[in-house]
Amino acid sequence: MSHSHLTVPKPEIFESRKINRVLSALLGIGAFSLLVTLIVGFAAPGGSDLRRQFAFSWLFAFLYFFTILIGCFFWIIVHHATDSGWGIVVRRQMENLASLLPWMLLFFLPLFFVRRDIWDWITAKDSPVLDPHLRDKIGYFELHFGSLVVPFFWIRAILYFAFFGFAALYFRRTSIRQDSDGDPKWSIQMRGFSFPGILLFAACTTFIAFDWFSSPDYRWASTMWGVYIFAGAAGAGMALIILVVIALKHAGYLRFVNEEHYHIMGKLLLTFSIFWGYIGFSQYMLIWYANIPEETEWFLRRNIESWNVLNTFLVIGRFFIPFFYLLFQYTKRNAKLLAAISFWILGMHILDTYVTIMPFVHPRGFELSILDLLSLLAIGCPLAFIFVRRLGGVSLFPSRDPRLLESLKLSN
Amino acid sequence: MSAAAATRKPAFGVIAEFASATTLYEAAEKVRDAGFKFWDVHSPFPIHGMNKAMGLGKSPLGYIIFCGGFLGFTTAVLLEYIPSSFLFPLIVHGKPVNFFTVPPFFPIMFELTILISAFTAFFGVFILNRLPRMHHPLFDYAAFSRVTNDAFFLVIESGDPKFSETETRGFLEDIGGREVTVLYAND
Repeated sequence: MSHSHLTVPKPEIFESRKINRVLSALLGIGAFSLLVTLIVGFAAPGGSDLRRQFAFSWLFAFLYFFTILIGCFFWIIVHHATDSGWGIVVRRQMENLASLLPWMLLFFLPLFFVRRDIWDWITAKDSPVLDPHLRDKIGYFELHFGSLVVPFFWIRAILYFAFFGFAALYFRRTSIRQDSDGDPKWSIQMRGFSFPGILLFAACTTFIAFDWFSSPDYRWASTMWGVYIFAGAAGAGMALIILVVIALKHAGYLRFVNEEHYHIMGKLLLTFSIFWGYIGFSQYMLIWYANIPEETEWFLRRNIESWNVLNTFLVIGRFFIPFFYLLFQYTKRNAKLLAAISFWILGMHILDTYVTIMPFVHPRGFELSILDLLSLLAIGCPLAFIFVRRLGGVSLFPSRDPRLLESLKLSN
Repeated sequence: MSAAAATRKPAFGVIAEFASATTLYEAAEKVRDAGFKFWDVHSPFPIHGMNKAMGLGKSPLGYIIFCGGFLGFTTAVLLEYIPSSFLFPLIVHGKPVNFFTVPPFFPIMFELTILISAFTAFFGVFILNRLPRMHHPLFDYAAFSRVTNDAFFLVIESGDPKFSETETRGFLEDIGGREVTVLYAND
């Protein structure tokens, strides 16, 4: 109300020409890492240590970026479903980030070619005596109708990419269309699509957690696992959104984003740090208490030798540090402090993915490999390049959204 | 009570009515800038940003709740470890009885932290607002009953160092207050 003098800002277009050198550096590093990683990985004979190292490094890097992007996608649909007004000014960045999801299909392809080194059910299902665990779960990987075998595992993978790809592009395209005609019907339409979107998102995330994160060891099962992956993904997605918004403001765009917006995003970051800890602990405690060998095996494997150090550090770093740090209003409202903890949470998300995936290939304790780093660069740099190019085409915020003014004069 | 005091009770404060939430908000900003300390606004619904317009600082409630939560957490730790690690250590399921038996203790630590901090929040709000209170001088003002329906009020209390019956009254009329009335304490 005191902002009655406030006017709607003009659309802002990002000038990527100013950072051409950064862009070409990204492209150079990305192409180099991609080439080296893929050549080393595919030159190594199938089943060898090097091939397995490559397969799991790539899986780790792929899942790291994939979960962050589905986290960003989650914030778009929640934003529409709750019809919230606070985040209109930052929503375009969520859309830009989530629209990288179709590109992830390209980075998924190498995993298909090294599938025998990652998913042990693929080799185990051909053995003459089927493991009883696999016998009960085989319908989950392959459906048998008489002599017809339907590869359900791979069909699901296609469905995930179809859903995330089309949904992310739909929300971005509709939002951009509203920039030109300012018709409120697009807001209402997007809200309508967000409700089934939430259901499909939950189903896809849960099954992705089972398919890609935990089925390299098909014996293990936990109904909490999908929620655990989701909790980490949503927190990391918000951390990346915060960093992109702060970087854009630092570069002179989005001047109207203020500490009120940071405050809300900081609160969501805190919420999802707590949620991650809550879900992770609930899962751990039930398995610890029941003490059933096929369940405890997962945590035993991740708590022997040096893995125990990393896992203990993960609990402190992903829950306790952000919790006490973000508990104070001051840290949530200060751009520098909020950016620092967002970097920290993205780093902890690397560790989270690492201690989930890597014990499959290094059961005797962690061994860093240059392929881990190269895989991260090989996927991260091209994604960053595409993202920066994508920033340039359209306004940096939904300039004719009917609730833009509400978002501009936000107060907590 | 003497006869002279009964005829001239001390003033409780000056009340002014405003037409809308917007005018009340703008008036609050002016009262804040004039440097008043003991005053309040009353409206049928919460007004976003009013705490800033009134120049209210941060409530100490958050820190009090943190202490309450910490107390609950410590209670749970002691309540669980002293009996099950020192007084009556029982080995169940082959689980340890030392520090590493912590997983089943976490839910209780969590619950007690939440419980005590919720109690602290609930009673803290009461104490900070000096509640429960059976009566308030404002309730003697007949028009004030409309505050839960469609009226917006601003009251400057006589306890304020800058308060004076005539000047404050004039000030409230200047910033757009209607029906400016001096209220007297009833006891």
